[in-house]
Order: sequence, then structure tokens, then C-alpha cells
Amino acid sequence: MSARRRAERILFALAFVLGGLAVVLPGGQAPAGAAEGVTKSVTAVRTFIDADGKETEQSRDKVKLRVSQTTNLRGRQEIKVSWEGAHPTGAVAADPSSSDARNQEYPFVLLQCRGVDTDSVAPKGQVKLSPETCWTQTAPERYLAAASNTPSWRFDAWAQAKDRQAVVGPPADLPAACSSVSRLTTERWLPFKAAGGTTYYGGPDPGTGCMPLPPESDDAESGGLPSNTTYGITGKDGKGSVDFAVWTKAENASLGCSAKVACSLVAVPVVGISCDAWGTTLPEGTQLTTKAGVPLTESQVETGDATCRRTGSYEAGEPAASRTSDQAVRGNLWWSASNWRNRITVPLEFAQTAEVCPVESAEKPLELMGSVMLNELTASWRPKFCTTSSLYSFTHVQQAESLARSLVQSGEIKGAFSTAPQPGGYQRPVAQAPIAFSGFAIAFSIDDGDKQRREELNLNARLVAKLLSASYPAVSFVRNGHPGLGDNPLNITLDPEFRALNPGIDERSTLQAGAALQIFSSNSDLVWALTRWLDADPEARAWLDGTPDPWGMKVNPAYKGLELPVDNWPLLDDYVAPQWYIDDNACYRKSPTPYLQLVANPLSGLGAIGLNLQFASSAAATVCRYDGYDATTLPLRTEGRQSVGYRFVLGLVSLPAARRYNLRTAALQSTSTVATGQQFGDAAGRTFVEPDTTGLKAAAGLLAADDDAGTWVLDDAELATAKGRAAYPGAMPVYAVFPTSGEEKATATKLAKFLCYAGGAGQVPGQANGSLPAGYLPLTDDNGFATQHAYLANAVNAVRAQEGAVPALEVSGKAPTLEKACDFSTAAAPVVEPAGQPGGGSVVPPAPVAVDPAPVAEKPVVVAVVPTTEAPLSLTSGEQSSLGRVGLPTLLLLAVASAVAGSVLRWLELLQGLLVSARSSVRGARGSGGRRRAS
Amino acid sequence: MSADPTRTRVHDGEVDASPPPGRGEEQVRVAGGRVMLALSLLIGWFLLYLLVLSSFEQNHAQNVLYGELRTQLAEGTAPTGAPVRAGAPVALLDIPSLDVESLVVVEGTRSRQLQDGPGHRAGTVLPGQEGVSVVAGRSTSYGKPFADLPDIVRGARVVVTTAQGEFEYLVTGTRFDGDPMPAPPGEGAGRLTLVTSTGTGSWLSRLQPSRTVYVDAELRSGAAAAGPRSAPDPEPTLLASHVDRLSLAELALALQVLLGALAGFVWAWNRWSRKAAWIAGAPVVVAALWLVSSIGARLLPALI
Repeated sequence: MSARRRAERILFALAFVLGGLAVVLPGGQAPAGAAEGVTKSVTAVRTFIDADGKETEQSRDKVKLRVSQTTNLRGRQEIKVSWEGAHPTGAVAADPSSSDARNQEYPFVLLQCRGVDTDSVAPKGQVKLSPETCWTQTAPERYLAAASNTPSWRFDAWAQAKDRQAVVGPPADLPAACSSVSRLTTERWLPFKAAGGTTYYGGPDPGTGCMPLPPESDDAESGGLPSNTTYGITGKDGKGSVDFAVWTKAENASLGCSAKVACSLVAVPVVGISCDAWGTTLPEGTQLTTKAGVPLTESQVETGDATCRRTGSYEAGEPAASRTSDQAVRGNLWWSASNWRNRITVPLEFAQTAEVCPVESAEKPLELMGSVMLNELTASWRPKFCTTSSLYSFTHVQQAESLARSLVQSGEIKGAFSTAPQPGGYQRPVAQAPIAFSGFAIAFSIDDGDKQRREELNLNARLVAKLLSASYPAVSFVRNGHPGLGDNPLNITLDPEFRALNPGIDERSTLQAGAALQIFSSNSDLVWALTRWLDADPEARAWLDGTPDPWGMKVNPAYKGLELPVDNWPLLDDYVAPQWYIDDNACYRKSPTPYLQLVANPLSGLGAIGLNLQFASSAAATVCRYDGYDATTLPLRTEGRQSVGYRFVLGLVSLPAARRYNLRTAALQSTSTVATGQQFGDAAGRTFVEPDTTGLKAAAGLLAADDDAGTWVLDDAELATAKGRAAYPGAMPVYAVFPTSGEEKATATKLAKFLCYAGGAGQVPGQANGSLPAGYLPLTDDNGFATQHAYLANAVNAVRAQEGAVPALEVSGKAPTLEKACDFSTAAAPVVEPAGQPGGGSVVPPAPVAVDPAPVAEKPVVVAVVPTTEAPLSLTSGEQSSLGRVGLPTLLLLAVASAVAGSVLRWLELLQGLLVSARSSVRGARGSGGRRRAS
Repeated sequence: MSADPTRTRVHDGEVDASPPPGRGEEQVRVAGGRVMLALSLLIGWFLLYLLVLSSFEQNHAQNVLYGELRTQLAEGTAPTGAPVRAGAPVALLDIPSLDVESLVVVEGTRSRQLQDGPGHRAGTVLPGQEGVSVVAGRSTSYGKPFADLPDIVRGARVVVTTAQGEFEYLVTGTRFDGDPMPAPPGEGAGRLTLVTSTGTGSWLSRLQPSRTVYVDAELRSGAAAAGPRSAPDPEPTLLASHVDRLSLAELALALQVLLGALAGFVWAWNRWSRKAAWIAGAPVVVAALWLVSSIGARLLPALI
């Protein structure tokens, strides 16, 4: 009696709980996945089936996968993927994303695949995800062949009969080229279906035309990207992690992922083939045959079964050696049904790119120019701007800031992004409004002595100066022959100063990439800020002026006493290699250039450095290769990709780029208390600051108003103080230099709106378009940007009015608010200008030095300018309905719950009877054993 | 309860003739079960009506309205300005990218009118005319004409046919709560704002129309002169329930019909033949239930 009552109560309670859940769940679901990443799991089982159909379970792994970010992804961005519970990997390869890694045993394979993973038909406009839409880079990953009739993949219990034939998936018409290539007994083709509709078969020899691979399969050497297919290594504890670079169609058009084309990260925990050599899972009457159609003999089947049941010839964690790994558990069988069925698919959502902005429109996009530091920012803001109807379309031409500044001055462009001040001030009234705060970063990709990737690096200004000034001879013949480098270590890994600050890195005498810092050849404020730091650092400056470091390393005489800062690092060393080397090296002989300039080999742009750092490619262009090049030209090639375990590259990038591409960044020295000239063995007495929020925030505190520049500049002298010690020395503010006279009303409004956005919604950190990407410090009052905020409001007024006013850096008294300045329904408020210079005209001539001065020269004198007004910006007042939100789902749940509760109450006896009989039948069945596969 | 079942006791007093203690509880349980099942059936019916059957109702209404509007367009008597009777057809709407074809827009945006089709908001100009015209439509029930509206892309065509001709609009954007409103259209320009409700996030969002979404479309060219406007609806909210006296009265009457039908059914079941009761009674009951649901649904928010 009481038991029944309890049952009723439980049922009622359940109904209420379920009803309650329905109210709570829908509200809480949406934002959860966005920021937190995704966790998914699968139970991967491997079984063997005997000739009589008896099935034994060989292994069972409960695999859990975690992906750090799956929404708002951008091209080449790296996401962190980690897993646990997987089978430990054997025959471990050095580089899990190399093609060779496919031969590992039990790898955790990660692939980027196009399509939607569904059992039914893919939604309209998308394809269904399958191994054929998954990217792999090399031919051996798409074509498997064996000289035996019984490779393990033919015994896959989960595979369909047609996939267990001797030759699977060949193209309908084999090209003539394939006839000259020897074909093996069994073949498995795994064609790649490109986004454009083309099918690339790969095959035994794509080089001879049998058959081609997608164009993106070219390796990094010829300009392509290295593969992102990762044969992840699982440790003995079942755990592993890897950084996975995701590709949009900009990087890989054949894969073709974008905001519109659905793609997924697919993780295949390789557990090995579930063997069914005798074909018990095949339909009745099907037999495994050879290529010629002869059924396999019993002895062939038995040999094949034995091969298929192997569980690895390597111990877990054992590095790959010369003996072959076991085929049945190899990574290159990731596509086999036994492995593929255990896949974990994590849909990737790519952020909309500026591609949405119309290429052709009635209105010409606003053209802004300058700072590469803003690349990530404008990549996020541009799609937002052109899809928001109250805003507009703009472009960001990533050009040298110095050029942008002079073009603004001459009136040829409407605005510039710049960090450094214009030498001598602008010859035209401008507002220089702070819109972003970030910095340069020295990124590195370095492997420690234990072959693990290094996460931290300390650099001081002197080490950077040594790298830049061609003071490491790189090779012994330069050291022996060069007049000024005789006593210097060959490269940074041999420099005692570097070793003192960064213990644990192997000394390497043949490392040309360790003799220079990858930097770009064009002018940039990034270089300006870097050299400013070198100039301000007492040790670095003294060293550049000729004082040797405590170990006696001297500056390259060509750079001695170099004037800093500069915005383009000069290549001054002119030591040409000795004659024997010229004779020896055919490529070098073609054009004997100063050798250390080839080692430095400045790159064309920030993007190239980012790519080199992401994939650890050395930029030193000293390699002579005959393969594939015309012997008459024979260019010197760069050293290219370094092998994992032996990576060492350093490069100058912007901090946001480092964050986007997951580059490791060095901590830079802000100050030192170590006596000059004293040798040191560790980092004691020196403060190294990471380029993180704390470091940037502290650096923001060092911004000092500079009336000559018209901006705030980082006060380097403060770095030595207690306050400045925690500041990241590489911090850089970026200013939008917008003219305040001579622009048309429409342009002025656009420029003002840009500033309004930059001061408001644009400073909210986030991954979505329109927000502030990682690597920038939000310009908020909390971060110490109150003065800059007031200036911004002032600048908005000045830009809107176009009356030639130059906003004051410090506003005394009541500061204008941005909200008010950005209210485009009212006229612009008067601009607060520097005290003592009414009108601003005494300092800056109001008329711009424009190419076409006629229409604009008179503007500032016009007394009554029509106020620039617009319709008031009102916001949509949408309605919300909680009834709508919970009504239908609640009703649905209520209906189901009451139906369940009602039927249980109504037919309780019947149910109890059923339960009792079921229990007894289960008890009876146990012992007579033997479970059969359902499929 | 105090009786010990292991030992037999002899009653020396009066024999207890009341039913055994478990029996009454048993009946309560079975009755409770029946009530729960009935409740489940009722809710199930309402869901079925709202999500499936109501679409038939709108389809029928659309057929009738289409015929009416067609005639009016041919005769040139279709409305070009106020006054328009609430529920009267005013325009024909086509959105090719959403597969919306020849949908008749009626006057008024109350729940009652939106049961027949998308409604033209009282107080705004008619579609095709100079100024802003607002048309609201349901997203979840009654044919869900605007269910796919939130997915519309910029630049999609919206074609409206009224007595003043055919007008082509191009979608310029989608707005939610808090997004900036576009500036009012200038002289000689026309804008059509389509309103519906939508859910957010989860896979259940189709069943959770919780907030309004506005889609603005600009007239390509040739706005007609604005006709007289009607007075704006005193109850402007579209996602709130409006309980008006007329609907309540109708609901009361419909419930009486349902009760009558049920009573008749029960009578026939008990006194007549059961088979005959099914054949004759069930359609009547279902029809009455339908009537009740249709009128009851008018108490729900108009955009659902």
C-alpha cells in the first residue's frame, strides 16, 4: 500500500520536475556552447568475430573530446583540442601532422571535413559529411594498396560488402598515366570531393598524373600550407592534446569552409579494425574474392585474420623505428568503418568575413590606411560595419603608417591608423583619436632539449638588438672571415646571455634561424616601437654604441651607433662569403649577396611572418636545391619548415596576430637591476613582462601626453620605476588620424561614426564580428583610458564640424561625453582645444595642403556651417514574450508527462505484472549467454 | 489497519461491512489515471490543433479571401486607404525566396485577423504607398506564413499587389530588440516592415516564438500616394495576450456547444447504440472542439 503511494508521489514529483525543467532549459541552452567550448564523448569498441560467428570484445575505450572554440572561427586560427580515455599511441612520430604520422598505431586522428554529419540527407545547400569530404594532404593518405589479397581493411566487420572487395573506389576511367604505374593486388581509393564539385582521386603516383590531388596539396615550400590533418598522439594515460589550425576557403578552397558552407572537426579515435575474416556479417551468399574474382582460400583467410587481429607491434609511447607498425591499428585506416563509426563530429562555425561586404555598391567604401596592428580588429569590424544599416562599408589598406600619415596630410586619403607621431606635426588640422591599444610581440616556436614545445621565453632588448644587428655570424666562415664578428657566438642558442635567461634549450651550432629575428622589409610602426624600446633600454643602447656585453660579444661594426628609432630596419652588413664558398655554391654564385642579409631575409609582410611562426619555417634564404628548378636561374631557397622536436624560429608580429594564430610570445624585459658589465647566470634582478592583459594595463598607465606629437606616447623612462616595471615594453596605442577640415559632410559623418563605434561597441571583447578580438586591451575607464575617452568625444565633435579644430589632449573641467557627441540628431558640440591657442589656427594652418585646394581652403572661415544632423537614432523596441518562450514546450511536456503518469496510474497492476515476468525471463535467459550483433 | 494478518481474530461485536481499505484508494487511483489521460489528450489535441490543424483553417480562409481580393482587384474596388473593415483583404504578398506565394494580407493585426493571414497594421499606410507600412504574420501556428522570415537575406525580393499596382521591395535588413531603427523613408520612398516572432538558440526555437523580429524592405521605385490612414490600434502589442469581451463571449458560447455535443454523445452512448453514437456523435464533438480551439486561440498572442 505505502509502496504504491510512494510510486504515485514519485510520479507526480517527476511530472513537476520535468515541467520545471522545460521552463528552465530552453533559456539556459543558447549561450552555453558559445564561450565554453564543446565536450563530446564516444565509446569505441573493437571486436573480433570467429568463423562460427562468435564475437569477442577486444577493447573498449570511453573517449572524451574537448574543443576550446567552435564558433566565430577565422582562417588559420588554432583551436585547442584535447582528449582522454583513448588508446595509447605506439610507433610515435615526431610530427603528428606530418603524412608519416599516419603509420602510427592507435593515433587519435583529427580532420577537418566539409559537410553536415547526419544519417539522413544533408540540409539544402550542404553536403553530407563522409571520409571523402575530409581533408588530407598527401596521396598515401588517399590511396592504399597492398601486395596481399588480405589487407586488414577487407575484413572490417562494419564495412559493407562493396567496401570489402579487392579494389574499392577507383575512378571510372583511369587515365593513361596509370597504366605505366604498377598496380598492386588490392587497392583502396579514397577520393577527395572538393567544394567545387571536382573529385580528386589521388592514387599511386599523382606526380605522373595518376591521379591528381587538389591544388592545396602542395607543401609549404611551394607556397601552400602544411597539412592540418593530425594523427594525434595519446599518452600512456589515455590523454592527449593538440592545437588544430582550422581553414576557411581562403586557405583551402578545395575544402571550402566558410560561414555558409558547414564544416566540422572530426575526431576519429583509431581503435583498430573489428575483424570478421569469415564474412559472417556479410549478406548471405557474399564471398570475399581476389581481384580476379577467385574466392579467398581458407589459408588466406586465416593469415588475413591473424594480421587483422594484431594489436600493435610497438609499446605504448614507443617512438617509431624501422620495423613496420601493425596495419590493423594504423592511423591511415581512419576512414575504415570500424574506426569511422566511432568518430566525434564537432561542427565548426566560421565567422562571417568581409566577403559579405558588397564589392560593388553605389557608395564607394571609405578607404582607411595604415597600421598592420589593426588587421585583426578591422577583420572583425568590417563585416559588422557593412551589414549594419546605420554604418557603412570601409576598407583597411594595410600599408606603412608613414605613408598613410603623409597621404592624410596631403588629403589623398580620408584617414590613417598610426602609432608613431608625424615628424614635425601634421600640416593640416587632424584629430588623432585613440582607437586600440595592443603591442608588438616577439613570437617564437622553439622546442626544448626534451623535444617538447617551449611555452615561455624571456628576451631583453640587448638580445633583440643582437639578432637584428647581424651580430651573430650564423656560420663559421662568416665568423672567421668577417672583420668584426670574430668573437661572437654563432647564434643565439650559443649566447651565454640567452642561455642564462632561458635555461633548457639545446646549444646548436648549425642553426641559421637562430642568428636573426624574422622581421618585415616594409616600413611599419611595429618596427618603430620595437626600435624605440631598444633605444630606451640602457643595456641595449650601450651595446649598440660599442660596449661589449659581459661575455665580450660586440655589435656588428656596420650597426655601431645606429640612430634609433627607425620604422624600417636597415640591412647594413655587407660581408660577402669567401671565394671558396662562392665556387662551391652554385645558387650563391648566381648573385653573391652579403651573407648575413640572406640569413636575415626580411619578409614582405606580417602575414608571411605569422605563417612562418605558426608552422616553424625558417626564413634564412641560404639553401641551394637543384630539384625542380631551372639550372640557369637557380634561386637560393629558404630553409623552410623545421622538423618537430628541433624547431627554433623567432619573429616580430603584432600581438593580436599572435593571439589569433596561437603563437607563443616572449616576455620582454622592462627593467634590470643587474650591474652593467657583470656576467649573470639566471634571470634574477630582471623583470620580464608577458604581453597579457596585466602587462598591457600596466603599460597603459605609462601613457603620457605629448603636445608636440598631439598624442599620448609610452614613457620609456618610466619602465625603470616601480610602477612601470610591470608594464609590457612592447605596448603600442593606435590612433585614427582623421582630418578636421576640408572633408565633405558625408565623409565627416562616416569618420565620426567610426570613432563612435571605436569608443563604444568596438571595445567590447569577444569573438563575434564587431567586437574587440583577443590581443587588444579594451579602451575603458577601468583600464585607465578616461582621458583618452574624453579626447575621443572631443575628436568626434571636431571631425563632425570640420572647422579645423584640433582637440586638446587634456580636457579641464567638464569633459564632453561620447554619447552626446555621437548623437547625430543634434549638431556637433564645440571642440575643446588646447588652452592658449584659440581656434587652433596659430599652431596648425587651417587649410590643408591639398592637391586640389580650391574648394576646401575657404571652408574654415565660413561662419555658419550647416550643422551636420541626422535623424535621431532610435532603437527598435521589440517585444518579448515569456509565454511564447515556454508555452508550447511546457504544454508538450505536460501532455507527455500526464500521459505517462495517467497510464501508469491506470494500468499499474498490468505494469507490475509485466515487470515481474520480464525480470524472471531475464533471470532465465542469463547463462544461456551469447549476444548477437544487431546489425 | 491494526489487524495482524498472521492471526485470526473472532469479532465479537458488529461486523464491519465497509469496503476493504485498499479499494477506495484503488478507485481514486484509477480515476486519477483517467483524469491525467484525459488531460493529456486535451493538451495533445490543442497542440495538434495549433501546430497542424490551424493551418487548414488558414488555408481555407486564404482561399476565400483570395477569391474576394481577386474580384476586388479586377473591379478596382480593393481598398487604397482607410476605412477598411478589420479582416478584409487589402493586398497580395509574394516573397519568392521564402516560398511565400500569393498570400492575402488582411486588415488588422489582432490575433483574430492573423488567423486568416498576415495582417496589415492599422495606422500605417497600405503597402506600396509612400511611408512605412507594417505587415505582421504568424510564425508557429495558422499556416505559419512568416516562419522563415528571420532567415531572409538582404536583397531578397518582396512583391506586393494592391489596388494601386504591383510593388517590388528589396529587403535591407533584419532587426531585433535594441537594434537601431532605420531612418524614416524620405520623400517619395516607401518601406515595408514585416513583423513576426522567433525563438532563440536551441533546437526547440521553432516552438518558442519569444521575441519579435522586424524585416525592413525598401520600395525599389514608384511609391503610390499615401491614402488616408486608419486610427492606430489601441492595443499595439503583438506578443501579448489580449482578452476582449467579444472573444470571451464567443468562447462561452462555443463551450456550451461543446458541452451540448458531449452530453448528446454520452446520452447516445448509454441509451442508443454505441456504434451509432460513434458515427453520429464523434464528428459533432470534434467539430465543437475545433470551434472551441479556434476561438480559444484568439486569446493567445497574435504573432504565435
